Amino acid sequence: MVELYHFEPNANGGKPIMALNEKGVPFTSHWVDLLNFQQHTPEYLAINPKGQVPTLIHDGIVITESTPMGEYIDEAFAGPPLRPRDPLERWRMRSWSRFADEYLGPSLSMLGWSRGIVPLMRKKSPAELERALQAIPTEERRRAWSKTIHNTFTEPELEESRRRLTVSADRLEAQLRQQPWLAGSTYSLADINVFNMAAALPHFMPAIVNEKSTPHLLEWLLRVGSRPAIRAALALSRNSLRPPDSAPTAEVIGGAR
Amino acid sequence: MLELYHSWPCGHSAIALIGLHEKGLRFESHYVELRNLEQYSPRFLAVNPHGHVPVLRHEAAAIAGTTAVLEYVEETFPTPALMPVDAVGRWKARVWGKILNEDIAPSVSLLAWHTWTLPTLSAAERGRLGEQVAMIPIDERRAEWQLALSETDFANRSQYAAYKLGAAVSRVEASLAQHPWLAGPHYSLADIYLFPMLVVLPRLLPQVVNAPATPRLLAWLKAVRDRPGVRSALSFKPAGTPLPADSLEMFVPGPEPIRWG
Repeated sequence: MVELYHFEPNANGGKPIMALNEKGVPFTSHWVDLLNFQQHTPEYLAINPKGQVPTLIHDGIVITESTPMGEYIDEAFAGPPLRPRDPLERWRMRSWSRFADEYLGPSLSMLGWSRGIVPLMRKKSPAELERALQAIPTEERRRAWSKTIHNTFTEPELEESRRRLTVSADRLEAQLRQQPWLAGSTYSLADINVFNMAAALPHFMPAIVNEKSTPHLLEWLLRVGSRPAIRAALALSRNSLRPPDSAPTAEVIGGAR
Repeated sequence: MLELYHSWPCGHSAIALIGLHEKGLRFESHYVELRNLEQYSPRFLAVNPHGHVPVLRHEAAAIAGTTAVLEYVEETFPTPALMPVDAVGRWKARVWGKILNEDIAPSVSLLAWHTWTLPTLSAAERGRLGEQVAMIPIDERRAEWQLALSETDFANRSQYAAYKLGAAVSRVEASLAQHPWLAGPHYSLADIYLFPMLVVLPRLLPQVVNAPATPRLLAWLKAVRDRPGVRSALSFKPAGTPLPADSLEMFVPGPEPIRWG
């Protein structure tokens, strides 16, 4: 019995959906509405005390943290392998996954939150937002939400995030110019993990990530995005994060759903 | 043929040295003097353009990123096994690796820098360090050092670091209440990942790590430290390199977690 608690099929929440789809593992999907703070309700905190998505429950065992969760999925279920056999390619897979977690992801999420979520929070009443902040179980999430609710992103930190995204795009382009997948010759969890962040790059940084400057990155995004497992994951989107003036990223990357 | 580029047995270099010693692997040692910022020398940047130790060279590849390096060693040299056999145990070990990289290492770096290194520097030494730091060719690393030297926003950053370490320590204590080692019934990479950072906490954060508050963590530190592989790794000194008598008593001076990563 496999259950997955998740939000939109992007960022960390998209990773296990795609990995389970690739393995052909059926699962019960539980939508956790992050924008209405469902992740901080007592019911959800009983499952994941940190109040984060995704959470996987496999035969009663609670698995959190999407990157190690990906390797768990590959080890615990039959189906096509999502990790290369070669130890060096595996090292590369883990290096790119860490890069997504510590470098690309945080920069992207700062820009995404400041652009996409700040306006959505403005529609809520101050009292509701204050209650929501009080319910957050960890200091790191409270800091992130407080920044978003009060819109205290500074221009230097947004600029640093844009610089890091430029560095990220260059590194990805350089790697994908040499080999078809991030780990090397084999499609792997690295592609899933980085795709979930990098899929937003053409939308966020059109002057940097485009057919002319980063053709290999773009071609890889389309190649990952057109896999049946990825398309099926993206099709779960409810467009909760869709900015009013633009198409959702999933559509840009995944093609018609 | 294995080669390891490393600092003295402390922080991430200690993790790599313990991993290789536990496996009983022979390697050629290349000592990198972090106290002179040798990791930013052209000679070392040719080995690792990101300017951090440890780096493992095996056959044609030079690989960095300690947690991924140790998994590589585990997969290339499977005995004795240092990963749990079950998928849940392996997941736990990898979660500890993530907690090390994202929470523990950056927080210990910041607090150790501020508590142990900065107060011992004279104004002249700070000035010289500032000049050396200005030459660091990697933007992010230079910015990190300059931030640390200027002590910008220090109160807020150190409070947050202490909070993160407190949360990690609680998690360690709770986990050791369930099983003797961090990832389950057997010693594993998880224990190797955390030991070199946690071993300094009784001195760095005595109000958080002490006998009444964290008895299990203290007993675990002793159990890890008593292992023959750990003992030989911690006393590992490349020939002709002057090092502190007890590497664990002498922490790598610097604010950046990542160069140990």
